[in-house]
Amino acid sequence: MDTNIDQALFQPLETQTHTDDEIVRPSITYWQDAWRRLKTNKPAMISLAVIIIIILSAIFVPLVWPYDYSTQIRGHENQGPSWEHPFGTDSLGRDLFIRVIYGARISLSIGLVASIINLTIGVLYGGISGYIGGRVDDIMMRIVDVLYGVPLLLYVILLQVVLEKPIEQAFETTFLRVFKGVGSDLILIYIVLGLVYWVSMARIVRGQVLSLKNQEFVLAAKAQGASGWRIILKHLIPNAIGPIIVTVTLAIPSAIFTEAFLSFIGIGVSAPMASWGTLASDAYRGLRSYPYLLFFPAACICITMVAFNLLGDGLRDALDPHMRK
Amino acid sequence: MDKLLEIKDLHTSFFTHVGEVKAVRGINIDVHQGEAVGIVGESGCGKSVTSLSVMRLVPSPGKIIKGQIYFKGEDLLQKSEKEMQKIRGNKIAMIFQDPMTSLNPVYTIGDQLIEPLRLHKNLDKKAARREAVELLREVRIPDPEKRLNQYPHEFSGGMRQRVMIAMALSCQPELIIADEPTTALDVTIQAQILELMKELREKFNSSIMLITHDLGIVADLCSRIVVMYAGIIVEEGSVRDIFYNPKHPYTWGLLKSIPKVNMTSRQRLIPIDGQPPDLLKPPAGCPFVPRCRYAMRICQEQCPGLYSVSDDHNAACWLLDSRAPSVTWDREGVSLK
Amino acid sequence: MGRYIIHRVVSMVLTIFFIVTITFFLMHAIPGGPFTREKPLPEAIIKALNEKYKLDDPVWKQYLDYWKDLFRGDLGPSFQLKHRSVNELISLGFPVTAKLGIVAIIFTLLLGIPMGIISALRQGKWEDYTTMFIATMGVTIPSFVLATILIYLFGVVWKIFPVMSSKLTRPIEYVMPVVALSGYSLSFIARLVRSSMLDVIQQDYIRTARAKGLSELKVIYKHALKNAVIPAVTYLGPLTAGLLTGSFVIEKLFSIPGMGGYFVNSVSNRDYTMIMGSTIFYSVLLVIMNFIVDIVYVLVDPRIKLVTVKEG
Repeated sequence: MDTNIDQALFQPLETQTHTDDEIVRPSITYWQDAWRRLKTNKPAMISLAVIIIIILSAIFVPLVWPYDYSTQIRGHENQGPSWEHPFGTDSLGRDLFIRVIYGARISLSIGLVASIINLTIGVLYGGISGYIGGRVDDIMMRIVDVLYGVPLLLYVILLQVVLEKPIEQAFETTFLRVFKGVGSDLILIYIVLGLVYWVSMARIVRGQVLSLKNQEFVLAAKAQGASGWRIILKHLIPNAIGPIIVTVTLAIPSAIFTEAFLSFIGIGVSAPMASWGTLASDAYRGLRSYPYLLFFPAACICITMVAFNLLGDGLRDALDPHMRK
Repeated sequence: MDKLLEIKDLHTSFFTHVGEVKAVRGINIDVHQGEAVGIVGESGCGKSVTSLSVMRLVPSPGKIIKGQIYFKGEDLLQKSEKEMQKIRGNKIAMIFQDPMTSLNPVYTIGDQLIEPLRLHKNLDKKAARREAVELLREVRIPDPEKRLNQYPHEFSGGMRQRVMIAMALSCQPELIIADEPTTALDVTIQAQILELMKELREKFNSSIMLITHDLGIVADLCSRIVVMYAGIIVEEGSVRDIFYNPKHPYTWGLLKSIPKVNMTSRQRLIPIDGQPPDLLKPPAGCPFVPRCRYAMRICQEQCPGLYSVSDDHNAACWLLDSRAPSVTWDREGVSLK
Repeated sequence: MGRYIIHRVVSMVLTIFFIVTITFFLMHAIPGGPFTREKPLPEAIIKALNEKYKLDDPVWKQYLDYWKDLFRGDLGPSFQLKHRSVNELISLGFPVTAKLGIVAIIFTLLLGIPMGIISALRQGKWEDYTTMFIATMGVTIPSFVLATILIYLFGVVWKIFPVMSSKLTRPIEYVMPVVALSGYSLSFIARLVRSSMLDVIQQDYIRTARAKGLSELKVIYKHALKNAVIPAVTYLGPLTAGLLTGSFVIEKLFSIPGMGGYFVNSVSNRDYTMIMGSTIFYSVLLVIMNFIVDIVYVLVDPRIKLVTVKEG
């Protein structure tokens, strides 16, 4: 017992400061919060920067570069990397650097367009299935399960073969002539990739629609009116869009990969246009002597895929309120 | 009576990336042979961490940083991991809170029951199985031979907890630590499990350390109660002492917030306002100050030691100091003189 | 359990039916028929060929005929290689692909699962970082890129392994193709097992096992392992599918005369019966594989047993 304590200390405490849990942080919107989280993810931010650089290069470099992707410069065949040709030249004397940049255009556009087509079909299919529910939903999801069990890549290949001629013809004869510059084979790839890989998107969309539906009913029961709607929409839509954005971001490298894969087998875009896949495939034959012809396009494929994958993972962590360790 | 377990000045902290969370800040608990001690407190007060410290199963990033834990005279904190393994499940057994997740879903009940038997008592498979069947019978699980070959998901919550109890008892431990054994169960099942535990304690004469936040259970099963708050012990005594002559304002709060059978609809449950303190930066004084109506200035500056109220009854409160105003407690209200 | 099997069999049959039908009609949707690709043949010959292969019959009849042939196991003649039937080609190529595939599966499981486990047990330490770095690379680098890197480094520059693995007779020929083929699935399984194991270690039943006095070794290898590996079983289906499609490219790059090579050639050459036959063969193979995996999964995880819970 400490007898040195002053008797005065045994007086009651005057101020009972009840510091209840104060909400210390200012409230921020869902998107700001997600962006803040994403910013802390270094790999994801680096990936985002890389992707932006690639996209900007794809758009602007051809405007300033002296060479075109099909220009053949006699006398400059098979040169290694140099100041004039940073990536070297191929067997026909074409500058590899600009071909890789054009390849970026093609590969990125394939990734983007195919993913958007996936998204559209997936949203429609999953949306309808989830919204109608019941037996229709059951059947539609059964079909999805069956499709999961099928090796889709085989069908990509098949469809390529099947639709080749019809698309060519469509391009000759109908209004789509305008797009001829793009190349019917490219459109073919857009369509084929988009048609086949919508399955996982459909599943996700359906899941989101189902959870949205439940909340809608609660809302109807409360019958709050306009203000209720606005609040719910402000929360529900972001929630639903989140997984969709992630899936699209992760679908892009998948599409790029598939296209490269197809090129390697020989069913890709045709000359003289070249995607990274065709560049790599063509270069394979000369691997022994001119490895750089393969190295640069392959590196681009890898870097782009890694970047989109890391970004997609980062987005998933940022947009999902239940973060895993 | 021999002292089976002596916890002396135990300090256990969790070293997280935000800092050191001091979960247990210097406690002393004794458990005698054949005794049942209840450790009571709200979530986060450190009672579970204490029990895990005895078993030396504190999960990372937790560490026991100070103190001794004497079991039958030997300091458990000095033992090697191998020596501890010989003690766990054998001399000291533990029953956990959530029976739904405490059993491995991919092995049969029999498989899991037999493990400690074969390990600690060196039985062969057949003998172990026979023991296991007997154990299941002991905890009142019907049709034990059949049940032995079933998987956990084929059992209800109450039955799984019985299996856990059977597993704990299998090697006749001298000390059973039960961490909130009935919290996750329905009220009716709770009563059954408690009855079972009482019977078995008498039969096997084991000591029990019961961890709970429910004072009702403690009164039923235990002879002594230890009240913990924010990592320290605020009061300890016999069940009678605590229920009829509590001395710490926190204990008063706990008792007032228990619904009583003969309460009229006019009487309300009185919860304790406020939150327990952040153990990342524990206060220098008594941790209960922000929620205590009788707090004095000394309370904020220094943490009180344990004042003796009577034999075996102690409370850590400055109100018990001779210089403090006297406060008496009666069930209906508290009067300050 | 019986009901479950029947359910799955029905599903399998439906899927196969679906596949055959779609493939058939896709093939017949190609305008111009199978003989218009080559240099233009005289009318009379085209007519004779069409008759021979019954291409003049109405489509539904051809469809039914195809099913009839299928039941006899006959996938038809190759349109490209005039003297070989599709069956022959498949029987020539498939064993080679199968050899490669089986070695790849074994390699994937034998290396991938331990990688995942070690990573999880040594979370945050160098073993974890190294294995996860390798795994992330494996998942993001496409197999054909990996293959070309391997060929360049180990085949051309350092000359350790043969660049062409024609007959897969010597073990050394297996190394590069197997590594290139398994890269992705190996990494995927490692990551899967790692995250599964990390999850399992946190579970209450692991704490119970420790509280019973079991040695740490026993806790990990008996109690944790089984739970952690079960999710990997579900991946076996997509794994096989991935190896299969991967074989197309790998066989081409390493000049392996497997079925993948035949398939790719048949696509380039528009050999319709071969394309159809191969597609159906592959699809059926995968469907059966998925079926086996589903059954194995039910056997391995007792929670999936379709038994009612007894109350009390």
